[in-house]
Amino acid sequence: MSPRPAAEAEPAGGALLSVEHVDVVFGTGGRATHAVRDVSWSVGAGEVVAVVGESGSGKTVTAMSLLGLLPSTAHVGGRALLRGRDLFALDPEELRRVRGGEVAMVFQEPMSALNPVLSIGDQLTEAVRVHSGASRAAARERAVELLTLVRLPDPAGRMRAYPHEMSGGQLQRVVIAMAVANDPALLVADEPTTALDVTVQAEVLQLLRDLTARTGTSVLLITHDMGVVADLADRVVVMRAGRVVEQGPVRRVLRAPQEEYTRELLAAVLDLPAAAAGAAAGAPEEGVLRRGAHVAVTSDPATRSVPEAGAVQDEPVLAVRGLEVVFGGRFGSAGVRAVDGIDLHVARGEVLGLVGESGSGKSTVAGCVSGLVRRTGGTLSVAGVDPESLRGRPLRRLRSRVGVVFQDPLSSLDPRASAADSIAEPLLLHSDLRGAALTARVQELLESVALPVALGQRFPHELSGGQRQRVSIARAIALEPELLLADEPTSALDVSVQARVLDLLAGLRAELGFACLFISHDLAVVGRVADRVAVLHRGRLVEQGPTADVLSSPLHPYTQRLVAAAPVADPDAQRERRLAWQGLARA
Amino acid sequence: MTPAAPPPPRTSFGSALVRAVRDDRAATIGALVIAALLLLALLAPVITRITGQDPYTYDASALDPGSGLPQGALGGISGTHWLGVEPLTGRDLFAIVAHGARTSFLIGVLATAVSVVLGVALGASAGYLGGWWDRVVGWVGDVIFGFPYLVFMVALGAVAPPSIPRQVLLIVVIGFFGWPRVARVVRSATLGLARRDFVRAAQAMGSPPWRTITRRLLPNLWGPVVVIATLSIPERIGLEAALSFLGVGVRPPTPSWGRSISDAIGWVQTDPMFLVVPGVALFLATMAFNLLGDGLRDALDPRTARQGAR
Repeated sequence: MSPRPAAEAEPAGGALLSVEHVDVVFGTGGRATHAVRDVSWSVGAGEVVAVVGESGSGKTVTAMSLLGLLPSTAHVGGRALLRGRDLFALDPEELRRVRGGEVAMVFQEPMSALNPVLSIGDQLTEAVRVHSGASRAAARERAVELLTLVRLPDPAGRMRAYPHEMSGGQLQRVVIAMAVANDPALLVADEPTTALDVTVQAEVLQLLRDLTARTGTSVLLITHDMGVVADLADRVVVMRAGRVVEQGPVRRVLRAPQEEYTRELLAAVLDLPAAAAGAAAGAPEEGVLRRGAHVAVTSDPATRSVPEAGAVQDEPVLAVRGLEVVFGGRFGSAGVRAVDGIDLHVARGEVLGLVGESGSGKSTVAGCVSGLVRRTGGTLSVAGVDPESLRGRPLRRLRSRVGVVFQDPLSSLDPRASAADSIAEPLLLHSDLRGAALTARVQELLESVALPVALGQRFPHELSGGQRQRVSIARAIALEPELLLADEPTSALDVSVQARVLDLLAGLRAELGFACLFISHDLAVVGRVADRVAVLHRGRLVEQGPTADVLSSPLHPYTQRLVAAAPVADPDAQRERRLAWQGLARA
Repeated sequence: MTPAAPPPPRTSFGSALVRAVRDDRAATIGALVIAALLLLALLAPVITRITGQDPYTYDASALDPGSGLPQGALGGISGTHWLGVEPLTGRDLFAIVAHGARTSFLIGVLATAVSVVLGVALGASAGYLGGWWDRVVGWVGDVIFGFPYLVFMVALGAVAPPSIPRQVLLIVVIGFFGWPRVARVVRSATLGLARRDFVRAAQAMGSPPWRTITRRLLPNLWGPVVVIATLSIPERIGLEAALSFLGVGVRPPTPSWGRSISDAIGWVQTDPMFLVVPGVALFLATMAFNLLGDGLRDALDPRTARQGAR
């Protein structure tokens, strides 16, 4: 370890928690894996320290070891001093008192961190009583106080609510309330906003910032997102493959990184231009703002979808008119309008980015295009043909003209088929290639997605996340489709891998000339690949136009909030964005 | 992010079997006992020829002429009769147990095969196709579940024409009453798989249903199917024994553990070993299959493995 990081490992006002030379090994003997090696860092009182790294960096394992939450196969070495007491040397009873008392934890998935069959109030009351031994009435009072503290609207009424009755953001507030119930000295937050939409993430980050300022709690933030780091952290520890690469104050590490790996990590973060609310030009028509090819609806929340901006070229690869999908809604009940009258098209060779948060209906649109979801209204044509007008063989042949890349490559590849078999499947279904010719084509495809041919014999669990997604891209382009449907293809990947997969897609598109409907929740990703962007909000298209226009001067207030809420990896720029977002959120 | 803890275990059946037998001591014992009993069943004619016995020949010389009880200690255990003899007849108990193992394994394994084939076909198609077919399969399965099958089998045993071999009748009937359990497990596993993206990917690339079921679903259903088959073999063996005990199983003189146990009930006061020998054989067989099945299930699905909470 170089002297510099060691010197900066000490926080200004004495350490609350100091982790010294921690090693974590899983298993024993020949099959042992060294997950964490000689890691040292510390957290000062009232300080927010972010541990950043990609999957497999050991950041979560280090945090879990503090609370003794690792599986029994793990062997932990080194020391973790909390106010001078070694956490690794505590007996189970002492450790139990530390957990939730002095050190509290916020997990990634709020839905699975709460018990679905108990009300919010009961769970909070229980958390208070376990450590303080307060009476039931006093604990309930404290629970309401905590819900007020995390700014949950109507705290007293919410006490009776069950987890399924609340949104992800509200649940994460409840989880945070539970974590701070006993005034912990340290809050360990493991990817607290990763499962949340970007606008909700901004709210939860805001809450965490307020809480640390008001209660003086230290926070150990585990994250992969440099934007979250820039927003919240005072100091940063960068980890890779179980080792600390670099650590220091957030400004120095993010703006003047010393190590090559930190620079790579930062370079892989996709930038988003600072947004200015755009002004519309030309005469406004009924409910629609227009600026050249850029259109948006005026109502917020939208009451209708935007029309297409201009004349559509003669035969687009994908044309959608008034698409409507209603789930349920039989026997007179209203049903859920997942998609409500949207118009869009993808021209030949064009990439249309479809942006939306969870529940916006973007995956339903994808389902209609791939034929996995039946629409209830409107028209849809792929290469001039409506898939629902076909049956049997002609329908299957039409399907061969659309390639699909799914979000999670581990789940979209058959666990019992080798990479080469998965890639060969569409060729077996729709082409006459067999035997040596088939093998040659599969090898060609593996090469085209920059995978070594030898990898073809591996099974999905033997590949890395990026390699798996390359295999599913190879499968999707095997038949040289006219349209590639990519549903969140990079959201399950690490940032550095994400950048490489996006480059690969761009290269393949230039080579093969397919059109692409690219669906994502991430504006920066869409900004990188799309020619045009359509923004979906609660089943309606609120805005549509050329990528640069939509992202840099959005017309619709929802798009403006979305752009402003996406954090960037620079502490000062992020402070400005935060203020802009707060202004929009208040308006 | 998820901790960089152990990699997701590969749930292939072959490696799971090896892992279960190697790492789980109970499963090791189960596998060894099954192997021993299987060998005994397969080689029964050879072994009994070596010992010079067979399960049909009466041997009055091994009996006490006055009472009809076996001569000697522990039901007449001797160099010629390794596990003693049957009272009244003097037939060799070892030969009866060895040949009875043939009956039990034949009916247990083949009846399970019948239920697995029916259960997988109906369960997988019901889960994948859904709709009215799913409902019909579900209803029929529920009816069979609630059916008093033992009474039915006893009645059937009484009316079935003797031209049908008893073994075939037992295999078909026991197998038929077993499919709903397999179908339920397979259906729910199919529902889980059908939601996975690789099945949706197959649909999206235009793969016909039959191909999707055979190429994508069935290979992934192997694990649960093998586990439930292993766990249901002992039930079938027990059911055959129960039917033979009630007198509607395989006909005498074909040896059967269940009928031997039934016969031995009358002698339990005077010759307890006559009950103990076939009883222990039945107990060992059912326990061994259960141990191996449990081990296999844990190896294929680590979530059900017994782990102490800390």
